[in-house]
Amino acid sequence: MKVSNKFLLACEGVMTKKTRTFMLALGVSVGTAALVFLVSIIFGAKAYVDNTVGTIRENLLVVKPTERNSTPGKPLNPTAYLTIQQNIGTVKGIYREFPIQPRPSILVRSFEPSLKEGEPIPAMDLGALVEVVGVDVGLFNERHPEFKYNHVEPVDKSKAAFAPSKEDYVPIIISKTFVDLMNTLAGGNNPFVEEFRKYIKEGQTFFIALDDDKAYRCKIVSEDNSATPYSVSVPYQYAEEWQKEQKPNDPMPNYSRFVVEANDIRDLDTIKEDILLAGYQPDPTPEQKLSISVSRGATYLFAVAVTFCLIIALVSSIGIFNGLSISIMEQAPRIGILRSVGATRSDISSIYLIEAAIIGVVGCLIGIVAAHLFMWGSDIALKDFLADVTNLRGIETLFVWDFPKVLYIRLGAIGLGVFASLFAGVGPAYRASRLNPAVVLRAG
Amino acid sequence: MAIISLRNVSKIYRTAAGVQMAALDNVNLDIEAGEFVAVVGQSGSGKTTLLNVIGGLDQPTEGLIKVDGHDLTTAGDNELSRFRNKCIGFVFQSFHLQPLQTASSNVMVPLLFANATWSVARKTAYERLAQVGLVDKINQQTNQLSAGQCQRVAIARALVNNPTILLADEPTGNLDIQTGGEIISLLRKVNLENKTTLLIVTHDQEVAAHARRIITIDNGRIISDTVAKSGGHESKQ
Repeated sequence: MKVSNKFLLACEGVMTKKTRTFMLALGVSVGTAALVFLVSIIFGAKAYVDNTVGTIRENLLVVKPTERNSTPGKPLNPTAYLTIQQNIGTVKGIYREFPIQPRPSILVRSFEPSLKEGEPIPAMDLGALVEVVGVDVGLFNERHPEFKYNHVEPVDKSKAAFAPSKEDYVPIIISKTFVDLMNTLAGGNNPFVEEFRKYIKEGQTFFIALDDDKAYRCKIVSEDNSATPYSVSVPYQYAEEWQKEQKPNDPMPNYSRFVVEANDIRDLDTIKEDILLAGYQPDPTPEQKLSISVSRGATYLFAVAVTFCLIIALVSSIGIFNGLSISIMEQAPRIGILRSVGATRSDISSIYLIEAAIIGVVGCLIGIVAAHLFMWGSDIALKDFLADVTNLRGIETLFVWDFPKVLYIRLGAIGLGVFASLFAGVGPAYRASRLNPAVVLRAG
Repeated sequence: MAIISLRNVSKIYRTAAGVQMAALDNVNLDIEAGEFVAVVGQSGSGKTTLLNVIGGLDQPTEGLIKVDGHDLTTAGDNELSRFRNKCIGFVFQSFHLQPLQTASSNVMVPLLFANATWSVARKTAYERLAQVGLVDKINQQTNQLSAGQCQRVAIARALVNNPTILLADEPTGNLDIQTGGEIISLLRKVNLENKTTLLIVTHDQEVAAHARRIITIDNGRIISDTVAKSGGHESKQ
């Protein structure tokens, strides 16, 4: 029997029981809509997380101080740094890390948003701390403008904007590198440091300048005395000079870590390979570890979504299985007639499988349209009022709308929906093909 | 030469209680091509079972069945399906039409299983519906037709593949006397004009009287086989 004729008979079967077909398709469409919605929101969340994580210096690569194939502790060949830099075109810079003895740092936890954005900051309010930072770092940057530091990092950058109307205190941690830099630049005897130390007291309020037009007034609430070792990164070509100037009494270590900064994060894997070829072992930076952790979290969420999708597909399959089984029992006389006029068992099973596929395709298309409308509506609601009540301000969309991904998600949903329908249709179709025509005709 | 030949055919059903019931019991029968045969008997005597095994819808428990050169006892499902499609036309008491489909859609179904294209099937269905007097009902849904018209559609469906044998199971059972007479006349016309072998199962003696040959079944056995002569039927032996 021609496939086209089977398709025609399947269509006739579907049209004969429109209500049941519609209800079955509705079941599939609910599953498909949930699937598209779930996958889209997971991809959307992942894209948002990736963008956010992408801003935290993920393009750094730390290389362990030992040569991969040599005895640990062996001094690095200084020319190796230059070789790597010359050979790897995508490297933005190579920094040498100097191990620094742990020093007490301060932990600033209160943020007092009393200044408006753009409001001039009175010089006297900046305090000695800013002066110390401004003088020392400024001098160093003047000589080596490519050497830049972020001294103060708000824990939550999205909340760091000025919001005078809100009683919202943002915790800020002054990085250890800042304190260390201050100490090392001053050589431990800088009078500014002594001045700074006066401010490291609980309850002391001062301003920290982040850039030209923003300032934070902070209050020291505690001292962080944890003695975690850390290091200062200095561009390789200035490392020697830096050490002579800043740490003349501290002998150059035999070996130290170095950090490679990629121009583009997408080149990181290539750079890793090149570093491995050069005989060194790249190691993830804390930022990369965070990124990996977040990435794993997103993967975990994705796995959860996939599991939900499979559960949805299974539930839809059970619904279709039941619907088709009942339908076949109701249509037993039709099956008897088809058998009496020449249908083989395989013809019958094919016709019912095609019916299942039609239900699957129709259900998927309805589901995709429904999901699309629902997602579109959700985004509009997000812009209008959801942002205020859900703390999602600044997020343009909850879902992924990029062209290829949108297409793949919908094609995948159709594939899964049709597969679930066919999977559910196999049993009833087989049973239909095994019905004894003489028996069903007599019963009908 | 017999177009239908049954040798020692038995069909035994086993009930849920494990009791065996013989629907057909050692039946031997020969029917010539072009014959008009009526099978009569009480309800449950085995008439429909006989029709089903001849039409390849059911398999006998024992015996040999040869129909139009096909050995039905050894044929597989595909061969039996082809046989039903090409050689047999079934007409049932309750018509077994698709109620929400048009008369032509119902009639063309056997052609679709014979690999005919949609247009050819539709054209042939029109011809057959015209042959049974329903040219004006071609595009009407069968649930809008009278019982007699439905049976005519069923006959058109049975004839659409030009079968050599037409098997009718109580074709007038759901019809009034006048309509039933019209249906029998139509079947007789088909038998005479197309030389189609016609086998009618009925418990109505008036319907059976139209046949040239009457076979009576009781408890699965043929108890009489008579052939029409002038003034009535007489035993075939």
